[in-house]
Amino acid sequence: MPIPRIDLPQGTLDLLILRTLSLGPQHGWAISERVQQVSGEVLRIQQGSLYPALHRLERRGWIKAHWGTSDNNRRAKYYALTRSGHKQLTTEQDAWEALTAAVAQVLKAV
Amino acid sequence: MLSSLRIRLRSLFRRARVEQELDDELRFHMDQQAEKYMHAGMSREEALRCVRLEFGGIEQVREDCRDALGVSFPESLAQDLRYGLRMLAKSPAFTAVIILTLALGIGANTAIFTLVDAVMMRSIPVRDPQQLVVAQWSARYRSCLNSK
Repeated sequence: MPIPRIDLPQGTLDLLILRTLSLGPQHGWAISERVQQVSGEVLRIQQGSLYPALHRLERRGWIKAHWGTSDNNRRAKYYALTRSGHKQLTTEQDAWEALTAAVAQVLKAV
Repeated sequence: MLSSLRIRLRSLFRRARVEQELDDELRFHMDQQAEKYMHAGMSREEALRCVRLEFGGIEQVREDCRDALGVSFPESLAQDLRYGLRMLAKSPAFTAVIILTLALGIGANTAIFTLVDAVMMRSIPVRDPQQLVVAQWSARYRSCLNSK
């Protein structure tokens, strides 16, 4: 049976990327793989939105890119979280938790 | 702020290099994905086809990345200008009205400013204008007839 996939709500992609990179530098493909795996295949990041998002985050100064060698000995572009990226992650994570808690409360209200 | 400027400048002046890096990055992703499918048992062709399908329009992805990097700013500016000119050429009457409005507006402003400038802002063409004084004299007239 196919696993139902959920489209990423607006604005959560940045949060997922920042969170994944907080575990250590990664290249784009590994980021999307990890999000997919950890979410139990429910969340899938489209490449078409992943790379523009990465470049946008880099421009904001939240992540930094450098070229490194991948596990299979190929040149790959790795992204790492910067100090302001860490701060941004905390902010966005708090905002997300506040939002989901509030929405849950409204949904549960009789 | 600083990183944004650095990235922008780099993508402006080292255009070819930035494009190449973008290509390499996307290609790496596609290869990696194809390899994953091949591990899962697909043939090479099948895997590549799947990846291409998933990726959608690669040119679109590239374009979005350029936008995100701010590379496309000079290009989109030129595009907008060309578009604007084409639209103006398409409706000459509208264009004429706009040009006339602007001409009248600018002309009227210039005329008024020239006047104000000459009358109020220029210093008087004499030596040491700050030493000029205005002398005023008036005689008081008291009527003898009305006084008691």
